[in-house]
Amino acid sequence: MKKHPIDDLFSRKLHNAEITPREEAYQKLQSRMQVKERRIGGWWHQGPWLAAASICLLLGTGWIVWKNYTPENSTTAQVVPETSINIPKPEQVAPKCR
Amino acid sequence: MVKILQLFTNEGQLVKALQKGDTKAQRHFYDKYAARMLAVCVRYLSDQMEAEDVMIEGFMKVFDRIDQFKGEGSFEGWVRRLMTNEALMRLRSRKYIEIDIDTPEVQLQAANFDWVDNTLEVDDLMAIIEKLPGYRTIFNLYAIEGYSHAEIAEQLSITESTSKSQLHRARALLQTMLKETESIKFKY
Repeated sequence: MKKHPIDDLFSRKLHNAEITPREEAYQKLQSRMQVKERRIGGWWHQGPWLAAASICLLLGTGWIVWKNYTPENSTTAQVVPETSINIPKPEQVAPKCR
Repeated sequence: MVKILQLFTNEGQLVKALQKGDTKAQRHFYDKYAARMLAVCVRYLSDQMEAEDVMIEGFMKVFDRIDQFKGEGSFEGWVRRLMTNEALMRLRSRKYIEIDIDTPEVQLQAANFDWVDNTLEVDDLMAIIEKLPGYRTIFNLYAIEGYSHAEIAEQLSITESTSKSQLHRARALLQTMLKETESIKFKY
């Protein structure tokens, strides 16, 4: 179908027209893309770091608990036999018959 | 650098690199199309700063949806459609799309526009289009982008007959404006 002369004129002249954007337009595009990436993929992209931090936290907590818990265990283990020795058995302290 | 530029001379390679999120390809693509796409946006939104903003949003859409381009039809045509949609969205959000139904019908007269090709520059024609009142969007979509009346009706939520009558009015008004410009240029 033949184009209308007005349509043809404007289409020919303007279809491939160019207007150069300002220099900062590309920087704007880049910064908006970075913001979007951070917003969308924040947790996903931080995954490895979060995993490493979780492991460190787990190991640290484990070490602190282990360090505080072990001496207590060893003390009770030593005390129990000592007290059992010191307490005299009923038959040992029974008065002798005269 | 030369090697990088050579890699993207083929459009298919450029699309593949964009699909992988290659930042060098994105820069190359921007440098190649930005000026043309800004001109598209300026045709819909007169304000160049706002048009630039819409162009940036359009580029973000292209990078986001590049996987949807299946190589059917021209890549530039696909990009241009995304840009046009972005401009229409902006117009809708600002309620800029006005459809003028009060202007009486104008009869188009046969005219010769050969003089325009040698006399008027792109800027002159852009300025003329900018002066179109409510018909600008429809004229842009139909005459320059090549949308059908059915597509325009769907995009702008109007009837096909409204789209047709608006286009007719736009042509008549453009013809009048061109005649005025001609008389000024040649001082009739």
